[in-house]
Amino acid sequence: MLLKVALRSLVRNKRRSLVTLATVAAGAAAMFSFRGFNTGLLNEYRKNAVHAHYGNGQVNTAGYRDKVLPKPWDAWIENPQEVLRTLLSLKGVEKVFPRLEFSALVSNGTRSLGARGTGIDGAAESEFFFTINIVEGQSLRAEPEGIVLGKGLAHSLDLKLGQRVTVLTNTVHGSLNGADFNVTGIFHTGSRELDDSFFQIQLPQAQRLMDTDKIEKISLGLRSHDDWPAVEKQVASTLPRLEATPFEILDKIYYQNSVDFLNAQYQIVRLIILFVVVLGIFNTATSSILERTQEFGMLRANGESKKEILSLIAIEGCIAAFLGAVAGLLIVWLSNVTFLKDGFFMPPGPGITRSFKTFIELHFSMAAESVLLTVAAGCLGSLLAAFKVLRMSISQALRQAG
Amino acid sequence: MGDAHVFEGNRLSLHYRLGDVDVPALSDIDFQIEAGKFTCLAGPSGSGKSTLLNLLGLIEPMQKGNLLYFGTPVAALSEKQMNHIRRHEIGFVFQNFYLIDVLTAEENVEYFLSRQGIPAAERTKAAGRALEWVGLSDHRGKRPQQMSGGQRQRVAIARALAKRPKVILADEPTANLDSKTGLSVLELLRKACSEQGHSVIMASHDLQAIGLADRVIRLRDGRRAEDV
Repeated sequence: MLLKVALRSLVRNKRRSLVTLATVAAGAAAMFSFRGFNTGLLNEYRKNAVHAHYGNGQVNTAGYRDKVLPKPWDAWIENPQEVLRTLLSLKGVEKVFPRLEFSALVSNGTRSLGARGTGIDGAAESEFFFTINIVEGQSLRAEPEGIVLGKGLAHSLDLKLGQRVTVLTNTVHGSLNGADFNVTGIFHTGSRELDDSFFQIQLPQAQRLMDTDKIEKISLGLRSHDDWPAVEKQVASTLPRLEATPFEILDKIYYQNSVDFLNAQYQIVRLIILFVVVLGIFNTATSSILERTQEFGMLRANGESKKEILSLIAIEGCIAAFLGAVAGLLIVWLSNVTFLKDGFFMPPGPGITRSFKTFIELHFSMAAESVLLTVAAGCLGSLLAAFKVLRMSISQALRQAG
Repeated sequence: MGDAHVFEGNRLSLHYRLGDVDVPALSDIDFQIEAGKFTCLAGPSGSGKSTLLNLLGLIEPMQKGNLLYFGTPVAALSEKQMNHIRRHEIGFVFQNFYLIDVLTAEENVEYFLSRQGIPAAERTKAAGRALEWVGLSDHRGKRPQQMSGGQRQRVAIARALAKRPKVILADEPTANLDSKTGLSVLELLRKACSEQGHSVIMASHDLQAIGLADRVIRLRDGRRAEDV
């Protein structure tokens, strides 16, 4: 019976109930869509970070990333082909990208600059690392003597596509070595440090320059990033001398900080939305409850306790909030599968130099969270409104003008 | 009902606060109300009869004096005990009916039976019987706004009777009704007393009501009229 009264009370004043439902629907929809938008954005950031440079993570010899070594090549990975085969056999690993990073001088014949080179498997990486920002030319691909330079480095050396460039380096044995390359592409990461000093050449060329058959690290491409924890465990058990680090740590500045920033922003926006919902419900519930003061007086005169009246009001508030929240979620979901289904363009985000397409990604957990929070807010708003009436004595409530 | 008196009041006083002014509503009232009788609290408007009825119904907080309910001091009752008494032992009939407007006549009667914990089938029967008793069998599916004032008051009486209370308290039940409808409502209350054995206490200034009562307690300016 209590539920019947609560349900029917929703249609006592249709206009007021509509305002209540609309307030809650707007709150739930705002929370749901904002969360979905953030998730979509973060997934785009993640995709960008994974496919621009880092892969899903990276494998080095244990402790390599934490130390500054006088001879880093002593801690590089030996027998790379065997290690690559083992990594490829792990569940969840789809691609392995061996890399070798080294210091070098890059010269255009008249001018030389200190730089950081990376030897990569150009053919393999060009397919996986598709979000790297190539501003001129193309990525390294299979070009054996190709070199791709950071925009700042190319600009400083006044290098254009097709021009020859000399890379000079010290081998792992301490002797000077050098080779000539053709500029096949220029990239732009948005990070001045990278753009002013980084370049890529083919891995065999880098090994020849460094006079080593070792590699420094291996980037991993996974079937899904959700597989990372399992892959990390497998690496630890099958290759105990190596350690795997996820891209979130490697790319803390751009990706993880963006995640933390957007999550913090969401928490604040969510609080504001909930506050607005509580206020909205409080406002409409106050009018409704004051109108029904005599009814509550009659109920108490017939034995209902204050707690039971509060329950009735809370149930009414929760039902209204639940219906409003579901309506709000439906609106967001329908919008997302109709006119937002192709996503929308966003201006360049951290670490990205071009605008990108993002989607509102909605999950059941977000819907559940939005419904729960708005129902709680609706309930709270109703209860706050109820206190004034419950402070009255029964006879006062009965005397109250309706 | 072990005690012959439903209520016994001793030097009951109550003041209302209107802004900065204390307004005495009851002053040192003594009375005894017998069980199974139709008692009328009579007096002009402002005489304190509704205030006294509210005290008897445990819906007005006690201020001064002593009130016994079947021999138990009301001042000693906890909130929970008072809720229990109001739910199970007292039936109210108000001047303004106070029906729940989103429920039908039958559901209005059933509501408090459900709150008493009576199973659905049993309470539907009880509600049907009560509505039949007040002559509203054909109106059980109607909502209050679809009924006349007299019909609404009959639903209120059915609601009070269905609870099978020890005492029915009626506050000016005919005030909003024409004299013919009022008389039929009074006759129902009279019948509830004489046929069903309920103690009925009614606050009214209606001469018809006074005429039907077994006993009349007259009030004026918050005192027993005899004491003025």
